[in-house]
Amino acid sequence: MLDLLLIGLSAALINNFVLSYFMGICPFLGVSRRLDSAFGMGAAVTFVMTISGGLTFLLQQYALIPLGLQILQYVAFIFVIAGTVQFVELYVQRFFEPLYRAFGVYLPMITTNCAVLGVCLLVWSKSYNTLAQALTFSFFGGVGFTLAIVIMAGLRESIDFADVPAPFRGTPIALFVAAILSMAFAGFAGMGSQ
Amino acid sequence: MFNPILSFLRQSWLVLGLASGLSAALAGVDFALRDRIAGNSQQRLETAVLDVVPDGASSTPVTIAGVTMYRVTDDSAAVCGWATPADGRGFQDRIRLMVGLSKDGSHVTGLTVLESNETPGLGDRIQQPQFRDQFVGQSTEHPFARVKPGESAPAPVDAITGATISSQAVITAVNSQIALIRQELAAQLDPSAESQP
Amino acid sequence: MSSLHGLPEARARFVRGWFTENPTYVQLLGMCPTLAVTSTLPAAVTMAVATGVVLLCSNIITSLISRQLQPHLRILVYTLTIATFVTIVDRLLAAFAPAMSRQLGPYVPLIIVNCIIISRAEACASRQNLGTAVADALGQSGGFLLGLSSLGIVRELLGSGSLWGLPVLPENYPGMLIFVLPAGAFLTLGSLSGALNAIRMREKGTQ
Repeated sequence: MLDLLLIGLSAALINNFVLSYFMGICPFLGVSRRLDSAFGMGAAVTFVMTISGGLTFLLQQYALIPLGLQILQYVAFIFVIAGTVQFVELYVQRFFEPLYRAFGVYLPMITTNCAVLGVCLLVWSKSYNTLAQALTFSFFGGVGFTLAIVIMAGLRESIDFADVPAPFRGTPIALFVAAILSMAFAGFAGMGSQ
Repeated sequence: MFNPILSFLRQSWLVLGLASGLSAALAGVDFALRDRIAGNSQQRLETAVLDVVPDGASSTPVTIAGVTMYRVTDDSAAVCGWATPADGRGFQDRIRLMVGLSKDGSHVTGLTVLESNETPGLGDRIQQPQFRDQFVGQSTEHPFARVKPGESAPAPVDAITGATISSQAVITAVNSQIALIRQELAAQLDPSAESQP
Repeated sequence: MSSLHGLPEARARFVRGWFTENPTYVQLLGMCPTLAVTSTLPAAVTMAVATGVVLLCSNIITSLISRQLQPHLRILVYTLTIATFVTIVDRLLAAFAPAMSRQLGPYVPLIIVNCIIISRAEACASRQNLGTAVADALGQSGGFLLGLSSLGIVRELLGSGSLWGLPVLPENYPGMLIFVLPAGAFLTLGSLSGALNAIRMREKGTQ
């Protein structure tokens, strides 16, 4: 239990997907202009990350490794992610109409979100060996992504009213804000150790 | 004229052909490089093992009391020491170490860092010899303890300035790994050692 | 006929990729590796070359076959092609440069979802002939190399006082750690692209 807590803490705060692994940077800089859309995006990504993190873990553990087919790892992972996104889109559209209206527009963009493929690869490279660990890591990775993207959206709403020197408007100032956020999140380091 | 059936057939064959071409390329790469890649990581581990046990010439992996160890032999094939991987939680992420022990497990012969993701310039100084060499030659009888300048302890290790947590993580990892195997190692080599504390 | 027709287009695309349509500073594509692996110059260059190889192969295949395919099959074929070439590049790195492969870690397989590759396949390679697609791939890879190595140079020089692992600043230079850390990646890219904007604005003003 403590073990899972540490994994979650580490994925969400200490090694935040956006601010420390730089995964999911494109929506972080592009989409995050309004709070509600940032939150919708974050929720959609977290959902897909958790499902594909679990699925790719099972696939790797019970199919690819026993069969000696690790060479197919990346091909298989990307197709699992693409399939998951398609499936989630259909399912949510069919059964959760309001939810679909809230974050359905973000779903097709998620296939090429680095954070989703990233979480599947990291589960593997951090050698987590139970499904519970893989799911915890994936879910809290998504929570970390949501946290970063929502904070960023909140800050950018205010930056739009600030008098930024002309050449630094837009992306450069967003990157500076990200740098400060990243430093703030660095303060969480060391929380997991004794 | 546009013929839908012909177009459909051509497309299916194209996709099938491409898929088989790409699969063949993957299979070829896997076949050609698999041994080399396995060899690379094997060699890296072997280098680390021989690095922490002086006079070591070759090593064999063994499992003692459920713990993976490497039995290190010298030129004349006599056992000259042991190596065991240890890991712990550092400041950022997992730290993986290789600890070398003498033949009877009574003292540490070497320590090297296999994998760490500590802060560059601070925590990652655990990789430097100034820190690692403090463990070398110390007895394993007492657990290692982090000390400030001027303090004393049975098995003292100076922490790196600005990286107390990383230093402590290494000390804890080494201590718990040694605690796991010291008894078994002593017992395996010399039954009389079991009665000693 | 088509090669005569395609030549100026190809040259224009090649040059545009390096500068006016630079993927890093102008299109802001492929930000993940741009920020993640540029703490040292060798890692940045390896990453750019690996991405370039995949982009070239993907553009060639896309240009050769995608006009034969319906849109819904195209995306499947792109994904399959890119994932295959990334696996091949990843295995080659693991076999012949194991230390670099370990340093780049998951960022090599993440080339699969690098927006540069899929956007070039859609925007250029699926509509142009082979020569133009190759020129486009080379131009974009060049621009990506330029972007990554500029970050790599600044971060390695300021962060550890060295270039390509060789110390160039005086020995007592303490090294500004922040540039090696994640925060430094954001800081460097922000400063460089701000500086480029400033230069561009001044040029426009003098004209």
